[in-house]
Amino acid sequence: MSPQDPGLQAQRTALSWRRTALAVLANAALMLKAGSQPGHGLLLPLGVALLASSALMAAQGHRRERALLLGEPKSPSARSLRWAAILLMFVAGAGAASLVAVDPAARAEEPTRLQRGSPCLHAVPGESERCPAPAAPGP
Amino acid sequence: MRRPRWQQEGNEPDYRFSLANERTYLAWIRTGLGLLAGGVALDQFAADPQARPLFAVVAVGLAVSAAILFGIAYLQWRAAERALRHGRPLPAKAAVPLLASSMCVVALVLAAAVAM
Repeated sequence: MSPQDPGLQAQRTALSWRRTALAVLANAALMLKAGSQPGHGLLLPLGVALLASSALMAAQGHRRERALLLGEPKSPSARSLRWAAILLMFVAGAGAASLVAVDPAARAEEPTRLQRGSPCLHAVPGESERCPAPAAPGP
Repeated sequence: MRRPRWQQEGNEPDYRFSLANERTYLAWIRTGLGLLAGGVALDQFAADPQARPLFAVVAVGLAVSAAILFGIAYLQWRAAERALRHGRPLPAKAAVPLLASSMCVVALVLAAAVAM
């Protein structure tokens, strides 16, 4: 493809791959952050999988750019697009399943003191008379 | 990379159209990634224990929608690519009304959860 291509199709397509790799990277960061919370450990391997997918997508963007700029501009192989979709489907499905699996446990661990509208929600216990420190456990 | 047989049938389409189709696929993938991130974030930031069950349901729904959208992205790309190769009109996009209606439901459920 010549640089005179009026729509700059090759650049737009390569940038689209990069943008998608960045979006996967952002999801990986969010997944790893979420996975570090108690009860959400199942999300950690999914975050690692997204990290690897992001690298694969960036590499695919690079390969596409080279193929489009140097060779005949052609549509990509169906295989790469199918694998990207399958990989992300697996991560999203497993993510949904682990959210189902961990949520009740994580909720049960939360102290009941954190009720809606409680003055203790953002206060340090014991510092305010409206928010007394929890009673010390008996001997 | 070796191409499946259906990608060798018909005529090689005008590259502007096939690259636009590729970018559309990637745009749908990014839309699905946005839904997935929304689901994980909702699960994380919903600190209110009373609202949590409903928020958790919406979070799981968002992640499942993302998975469905990733599959639809590939199927739509393939259908459009086939149509381009055979000079047929482009197929209708089923994902647009599906996404709009499911996001409508998500927004209404979240609004109800916040208002409760």
